[in-house]
Amino acid sequence: MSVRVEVRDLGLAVGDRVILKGVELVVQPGEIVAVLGLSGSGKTSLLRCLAGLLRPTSGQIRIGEVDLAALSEAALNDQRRRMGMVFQYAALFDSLSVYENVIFGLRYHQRLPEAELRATAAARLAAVGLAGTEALLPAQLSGGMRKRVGLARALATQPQIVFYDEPTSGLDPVGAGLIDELIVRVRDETGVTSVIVSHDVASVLRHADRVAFLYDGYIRLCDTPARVRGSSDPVVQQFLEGRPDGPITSLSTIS
Amino acid sequence: MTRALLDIVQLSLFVSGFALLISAAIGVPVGAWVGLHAFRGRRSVLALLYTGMGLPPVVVGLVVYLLLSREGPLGGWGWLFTPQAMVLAQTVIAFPVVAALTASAVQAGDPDLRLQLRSLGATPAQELCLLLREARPGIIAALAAGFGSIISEVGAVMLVGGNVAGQTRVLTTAIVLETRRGNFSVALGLGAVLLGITLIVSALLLRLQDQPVRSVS
Repeated sequence: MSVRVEVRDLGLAVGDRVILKGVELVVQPGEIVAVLGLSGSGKTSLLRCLAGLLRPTSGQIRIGEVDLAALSEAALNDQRRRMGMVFQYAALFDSLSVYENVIFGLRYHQRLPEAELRATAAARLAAVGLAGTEALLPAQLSGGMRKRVGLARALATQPQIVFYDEPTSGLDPVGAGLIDELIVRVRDETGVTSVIVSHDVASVLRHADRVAFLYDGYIRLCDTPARVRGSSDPVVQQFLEGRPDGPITSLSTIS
Repeated sequence: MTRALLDIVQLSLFVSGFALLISAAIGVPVGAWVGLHAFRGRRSVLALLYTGMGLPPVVVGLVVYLLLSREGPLGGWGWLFTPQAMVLAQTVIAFPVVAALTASAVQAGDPDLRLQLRSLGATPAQELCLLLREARPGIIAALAAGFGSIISEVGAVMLVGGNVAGQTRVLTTAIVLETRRGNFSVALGLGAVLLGITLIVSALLLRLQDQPVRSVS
């Protein structure tokens, strides 16, 4: 259950504002690739383009054999079912129980018997360490638990690729480590391709197979964590070390 | 007196309840659409709805009166001085309240929810159902405000209903009448009944709002 992603010369502009200029990125099946970048660098927009939630202005996004940019809205909707998305703030439906949240995608697309839905939800919740929480409401969960329910929901439809938007933001170091470990474990167990967008350098360098650095509308570098750490690129170094002085000025985030 | 009072209470509930039902049936979908879609002239539509929230009932009554009067374009319906005319006028008053507050309730929702719904492959209809469900507390507040605006108004029902005893007399018009007659204790009693009804309806609506409050700690 995994798929290759190939992004070619991806451009995105909203009104007059150019967000992505020419993104090139290849993610191999089953790989975990993390995209690092400054706040406002277009990471989330890139992720939304990949997930078929935002139409790019130019370029290609191939998920397996399909070019998302060439699809109609209805065909795109079909494609989205192959993909899972975990939002930064989990985006849980507060009016539904944890159970209904987890099986939301399944209930609408596959006419499965309730017993099977129950079993799927129980298995997915157990996989994220939340067994037995089906009857709870999102309002009763902590931030970390909400993110894990979001992950269980994204996995319920057995996607070929999962997109994570800032999966560790707002969590304490232990909670963040738990999410990192889950992302790796889910990949190891299901072989799912994973793309993570984050500015949590420590977390990403720990668990991603490769790290891409998005800067000024381009992927400036995409390599293994060890090589990224050792990169001599002053921009990358300044970002990794979090230094206020260097080639990155606060102005460069507003292009 | 008791018989007459019951009639008055019953008619008040019927007219305002029916007007609220119609306003909800039109106002909730219209409000949801305006709240969730970007289109040309959206600001103007919202401005119109907000202005509509402040429509003086007596002006609405006057316009509906002119429409329904014998020479008016809808004179053929023969609705003037009937409960139907009162329902029509109160629907005009409650509709903008329900629509505008529904729009603001669905608009206030987490924008990520819509993307999440799309990423789960939900159809537009499924998306709308869930977003309305998520906005339920705000929509119930919209209905409560709509009901409050019509159960308590006197200008429109007085003009288009005519306050005919046993036919178009409701609580508010009865209060005006009794006050003019100097029957202050009766008027006060009717006022208490009106307040009681509003209280009961609000309590019922609040029960529908039963969502858990997210704890702050």
